[in-house]
Amino acid sequence: MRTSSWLAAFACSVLVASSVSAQVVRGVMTVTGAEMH
Amino acid sequence: MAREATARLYDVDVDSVVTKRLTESGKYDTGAVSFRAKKGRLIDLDKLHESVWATRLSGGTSSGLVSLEVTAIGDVVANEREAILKVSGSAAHFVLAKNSDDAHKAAYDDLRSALDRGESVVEVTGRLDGWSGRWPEVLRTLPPKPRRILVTAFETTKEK
Repeated sequence: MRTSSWLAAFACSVLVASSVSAQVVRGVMTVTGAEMH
Repeated sequence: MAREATARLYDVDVDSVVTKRLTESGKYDTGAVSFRAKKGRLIDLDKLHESVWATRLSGGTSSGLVSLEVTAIGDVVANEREAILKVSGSAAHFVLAKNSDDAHKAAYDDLRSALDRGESVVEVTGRLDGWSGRWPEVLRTLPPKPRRILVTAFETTKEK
């Protein structure tokens, strides 16, 4: 449950990331999580 | 529903976002979030940084950003000192550099060799230099510009 929560938080971060002056077509964000709020 | 509504407003293809758990050992997990721009669009790294910052991740733990690997499309121009990727459809550019990772350290030299042979490098993948660290320190300021891609892979076209 903890893992799915922080992964969901990052997924949402990606979803709201957008732009008009942008640079990349795709990416992979690797994160480590512990006791995340 | 809110997630889909948000995704419709921006350049990330909502169907492309995949989260994957890489490791789990005790309370420290590692995971990867992969994503892709909508067709014909690009993703702004400044806004990605801002958005992650907005999640208000706390400090005092070992949680953080391990790396951010990106793929950019454009034209690579090089001189003796450096190679630069000029992003298609944007004024943005990246400085390309060698990856210290053993598995990928040859990629940058291979890219330079391809340019020397007259090939056009049109797509570059690699880790973004400076995009790693613990929360919240890693998010307090934007990583320095020009951004550097530590090259792990690239694509070429023969015509030039």
